[in-house]
Amino acid sequence: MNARNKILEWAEEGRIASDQLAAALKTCKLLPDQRGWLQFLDRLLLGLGTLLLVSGIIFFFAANWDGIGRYTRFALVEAAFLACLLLLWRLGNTSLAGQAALMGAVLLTGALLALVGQTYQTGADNWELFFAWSLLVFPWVALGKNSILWLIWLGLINLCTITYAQAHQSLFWEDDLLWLLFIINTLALVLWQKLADLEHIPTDAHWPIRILATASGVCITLLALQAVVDSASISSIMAWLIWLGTIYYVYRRQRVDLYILTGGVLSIIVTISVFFTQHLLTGDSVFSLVLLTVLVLGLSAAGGWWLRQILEEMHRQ
Amino acid sequence: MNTDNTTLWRQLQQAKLVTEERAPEQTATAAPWYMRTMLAFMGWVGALLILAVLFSGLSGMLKSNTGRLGIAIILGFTALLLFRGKESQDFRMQFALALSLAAQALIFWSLGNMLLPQQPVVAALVVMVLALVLLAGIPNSIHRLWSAGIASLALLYLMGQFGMAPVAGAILSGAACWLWQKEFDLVRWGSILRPLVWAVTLTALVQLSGEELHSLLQLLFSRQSSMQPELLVLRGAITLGIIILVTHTMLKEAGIKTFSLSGLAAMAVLFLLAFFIPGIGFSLLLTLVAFSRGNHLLAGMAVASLLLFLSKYYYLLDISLLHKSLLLAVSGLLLLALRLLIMHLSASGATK
Repeated sequence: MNARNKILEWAEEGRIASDQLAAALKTCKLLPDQRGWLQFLDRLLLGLGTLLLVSGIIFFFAANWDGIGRYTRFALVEAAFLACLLLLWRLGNTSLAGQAALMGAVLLTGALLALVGQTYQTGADNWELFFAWSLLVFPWVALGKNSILWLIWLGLINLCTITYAQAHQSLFWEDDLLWLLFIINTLALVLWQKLADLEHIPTDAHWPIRILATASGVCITLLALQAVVDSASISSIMAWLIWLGTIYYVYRRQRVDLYILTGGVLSIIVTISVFFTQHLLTGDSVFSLVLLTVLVLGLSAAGGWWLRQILEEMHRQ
Repeated sequence: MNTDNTTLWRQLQQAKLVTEERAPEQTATAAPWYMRTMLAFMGWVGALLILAVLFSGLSGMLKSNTGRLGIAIILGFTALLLFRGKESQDFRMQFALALSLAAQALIFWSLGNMLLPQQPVVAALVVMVLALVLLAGIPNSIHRLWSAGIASLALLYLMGQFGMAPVAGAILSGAACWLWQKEFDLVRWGSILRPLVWAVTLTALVQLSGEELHSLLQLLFSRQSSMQPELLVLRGAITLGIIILVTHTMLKEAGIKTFSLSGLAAMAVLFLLAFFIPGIGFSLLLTLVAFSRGNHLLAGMAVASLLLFLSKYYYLLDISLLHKSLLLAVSGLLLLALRLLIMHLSASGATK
């Protein structure tokens, strides 16, 4: 339980007078002081004001797009692109504004490529746009050392894969796309975790690793479900079991990440439930349904109990 | 921030805010949001399966309202006994949650059959009262959030039935902001009130995302509106009242005088945003309230809803893209000007 919730719990129990609660939170530095407020207002108004203004400018150009000539369109996008690069050069990569400018340049690269495709009707497929985009911005992403930029880049790789599969459906079997996405995201997860372990990237933020683990987990769970429903090849089930074992070893034994373990538990519950639904709901339906209900509730309770044990252990340490 | 009990208690002792010598024993650690979401989802799946069992085995009894209500009472009573057991066990809690949700589904079904479509107001009132009773009576955080959600949705429906739909978003969002601000004053009933305020907040966001804004924005661009004038005035008055009430406290905390230039400018900008672009205005106000209360989860949700409303705004087809662009750009410039004003005045010491 975090400090704020603990203090609120004590106040609810009457250990802290309710008129002293704000003072208690301020004492433990859980409420902002005047300096904190000014800092927060500065960032919030700057970020939101800029976002609204830039959105307004983008909408303005969108409203007049048909009336704008071909060269003017390119000039507008390239001017915005150069403005981002200029800001990045002036502010440097380490400042927040510099990072925002780099992100702007990465996104505008895609806008420029889309404009080329729209204007010159090159006949290129969507996957070629995403492929070229990810290739061109890779050096900036590598030098940027920004988690958001890396995730955007991985998002482009995923989109490239999906659109390629859509354009070449004859080359792909049913679950080939899922396998590709699983491999891409799992490799990214492994690499990211390794770099974090070697402290080549910031280790205090868990969320990028959790996003990658979610993507990897969703893909392998869908593959396992497909194998269960279609009674298809056993390789998906084997891969799912190996994935579960690896997740357990890395995120329970080597380190503890409760979010990823929760995802693993959910994957197990869903897959086993679907398996038993396929094989139980045939004969006597009432008895089968009762069995299934007990199974689902039992699995979720067991999963909840196990996760709670880990949570208690984390808080004791 | 995870801090042990002793360290926190010592800080409070040094500030003479607590009298007990020893820190309280560590209670069961609250599960993080993703664990509770998973358990709540599985509880729902369990409820659906129980209903499926009932339909298979007791289909005859389920055909009549009396039969359904009878089964619902048995399920609900069993759930209550399980919830109120001495020790918290995961299987028992999950089973109780599933039974309770199944019982409520049967009750709502029966109520719908008996009272709809002739008496929708009575049906909504009964649902709301039942949900509030369950909120107070069942000591389970996931169940409380569910009950609070049902009560909020029933309230929203009742507002619609009484012709208050155009102002429902303003009322709910204002109530949510005000209640979050009062969180410390009402802390003694926190375990009951907090789920309720979360539910009101989420219902307000849902209502605002579904509201048609064209009548407000038409007012801005063509000085005409399809909304009735009295509702327009009422909405404006409610919005202004909430802005003043909520912002006054926050300005005091930030060291800005309410009737100073920056204080009045802040209130004016918030009012304009909350009135003409309610989704964005309310999300911004909620972000400020959440920050003032140190509630990071609420602040994160408020910022996410702010960005979602901004994206949704793009698909608003009721006014032209040009008008949308002007509204966004002017709003952005106002916020940037407000920032400059606040920073300039605080630097020159004019805020004290």
